[in-house]
Amino acid sequence: MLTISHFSKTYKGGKRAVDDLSLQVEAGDIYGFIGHNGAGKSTTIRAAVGAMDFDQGEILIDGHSITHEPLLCKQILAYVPDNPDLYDYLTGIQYLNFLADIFKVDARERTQRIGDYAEQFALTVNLGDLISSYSHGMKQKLALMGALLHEPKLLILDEPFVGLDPAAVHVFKGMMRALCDRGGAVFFSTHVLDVAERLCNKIAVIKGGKLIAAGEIEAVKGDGSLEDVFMELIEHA
Amino acid sequence: MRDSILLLKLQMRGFLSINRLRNRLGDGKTALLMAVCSVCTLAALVLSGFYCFMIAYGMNEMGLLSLYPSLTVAISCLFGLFTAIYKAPHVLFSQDDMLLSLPISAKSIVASRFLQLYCYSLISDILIMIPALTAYGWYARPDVGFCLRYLLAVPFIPVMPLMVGCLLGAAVQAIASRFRHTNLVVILGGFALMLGLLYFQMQIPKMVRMQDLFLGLEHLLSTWIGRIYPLAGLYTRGVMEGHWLSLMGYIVLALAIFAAMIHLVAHFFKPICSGLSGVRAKARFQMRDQRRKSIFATLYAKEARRYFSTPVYVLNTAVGALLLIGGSVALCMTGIPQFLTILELTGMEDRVFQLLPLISALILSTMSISASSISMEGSSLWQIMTLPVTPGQVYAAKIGFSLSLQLPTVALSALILGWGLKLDAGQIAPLLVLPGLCALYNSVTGLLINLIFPKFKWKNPAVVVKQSAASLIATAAGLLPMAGMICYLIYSPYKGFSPIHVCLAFLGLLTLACLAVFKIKGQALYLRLAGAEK
Repeated sequence: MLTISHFSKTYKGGKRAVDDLSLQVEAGDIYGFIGHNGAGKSTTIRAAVGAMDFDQGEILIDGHSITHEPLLCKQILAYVPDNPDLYDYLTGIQYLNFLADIFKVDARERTQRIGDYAEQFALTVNLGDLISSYSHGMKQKLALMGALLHEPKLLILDEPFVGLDPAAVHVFKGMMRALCDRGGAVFFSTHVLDVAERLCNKIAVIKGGKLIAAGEIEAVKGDGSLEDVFMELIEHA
Repeated sequence: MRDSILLLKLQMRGFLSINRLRNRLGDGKTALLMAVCSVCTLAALVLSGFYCFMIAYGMNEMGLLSLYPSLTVAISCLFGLFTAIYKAPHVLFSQDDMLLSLPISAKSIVASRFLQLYCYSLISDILIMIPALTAYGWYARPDVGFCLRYLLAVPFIPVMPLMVGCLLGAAVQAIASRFRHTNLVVILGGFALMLGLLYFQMQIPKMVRMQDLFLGLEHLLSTWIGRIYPLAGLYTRGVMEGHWLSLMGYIVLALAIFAAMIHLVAHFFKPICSGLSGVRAKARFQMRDQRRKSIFATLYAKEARRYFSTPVYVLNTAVGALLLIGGSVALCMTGIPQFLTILELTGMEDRVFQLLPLISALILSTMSISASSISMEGSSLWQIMTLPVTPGQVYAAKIGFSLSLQLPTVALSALILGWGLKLDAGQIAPLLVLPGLCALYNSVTGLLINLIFPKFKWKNPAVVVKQSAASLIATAAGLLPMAGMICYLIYSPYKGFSPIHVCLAFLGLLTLACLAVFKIKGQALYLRLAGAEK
């Protein structure tokens, strides 16, 4: 579903943010991407969703190159960044309709999906208000709703649980599992290792732009907790 | 005082993005940055000096040179007043939770923000007053005492207009925030102010004709200067007439006003900030059937909502529309002979119907809507970059929106002139075709310039709409060809061909060239935006 091969990115000024990273996310995977601050997680994610060009390597979404077939790839995937800056001058419903129009979701389906998601996230009554009046958590919920509206095959998220209340976290985890059960996949970065441990079937650990561990979560963490393994990997890699 | 100065230093690091530029260029190129800033400042002083000398020359010829210093003070105050009106809500009353949670008094925060606004005003004040002193000195040959008094007063000139502007800016925002559609109220208020200024300007010739019959021009000018700048009398007595007590009084009064405003605003600071930044939330939406739109329609609607939700964007770009329509109405009321007399173009009756379309196109060039449309994506750029839309679709929506505002303005102006001046089809057609092509040219070049010079890191949209490189370059790119053609029409000895046709060909070629650049480089420029965002 997502294939990253020998991906490298160097910013202006010579900083090599990611160095020769390769990983594979398959259909049905909930893939956690963890690392310290500034490790290169967001850089990798932004390159994977076509928001940023890169120096070396290849990124394929369901077999299509993000560089050469960006539109096709973006039709399949959905992306929510960390701290999503949404269009403050739109209402929630206008924002969702905007996304639905871009993804060509027909009227009946979008009405049903918006209604369902809004109910699950307890956001229905707020959809008529300007996004500028939303709290951070409400914006996060709206962004997640927008991402799911067109039923993407691949969901790429950068720290999706930040700002969500416990009920919303629970609901969203269910949505992620449902997406994977339908043959999709989820690739997300997080600092909350407990969530990663319980939710993900695969994990990748990045440090200083380099991948230091990747694979089935049981294989990566062994008998210890993910936190212990993570701290050991970060210290000794 | 210490906290205020610390905050001021912090705030001034963001001035003109100098700190960001320094950081990007590195230590070795700081000298280069300083050199570039110095050159720009020098250029601004030279340009200001040119205008100051022109005005001084004119006033000297009319025997009104004694009023020149007061007039330049009034001009400096008007600049400061309008700057403060625009900037006050965003600079003075911006809610910063982290700052408010620090052990810093509201008075220190308010003082630092007033000082920040004062620094902005002082720059324009110096750029006007120092060249003005040079010009005045050239003609009047004042003594050293006058120059000392003049220079001593310069730092205190921006104080009063700054205070008035801040109050007005905050008042407009406060009144507007009480209404459901805040932005609409601010926009309508801005339009009302502009129309009032236009009407006032149209009345000045009548007033001058009446007044100078009875009172004399000198008295009239001093009356109007006094109305713009109430402290002009103290300034005149202190600086011009050498009364040191009056000068001290002027300085003390300015400082007292400054201190009093800080104290007053600090007292109501938190409620004012909360009131101005509060957003209505009704929380009573009920789900209904939704409708589907095409990609173009939805991107267009997004552009429209972005535009109309930003009062400074609307007001800054709609000036051209107001001038064009207002000017068309004024021309119908005054008639062509009077119009030519006012412009000192008597003898051009045979070329007036070539001049009118050029003037319409010139005015329209101030409506550079698309020149800020990329930058206005701001921190939401990630959204459009990660959606399955082609750059072409994004560009089409932005150009389409710009045209949808400019073309009706052109049509309305042509309709008013056609009806009011009883024009035939042959005379109306150029009024539609040339400004129409100019609208397309403005929209296409504006977008291209913004793609090359985007600016995504901003908190105040005024920075993008009024001060960004893209908006300035795009306005110049629109105005210069039209101004050149008008000068050619007025001054050229060659009358073998029509400047309208030359203009149409020139604009047509430029537009096609820009469209070709979009075709060849549009994708690359779009992808480059992601790097510019960082």
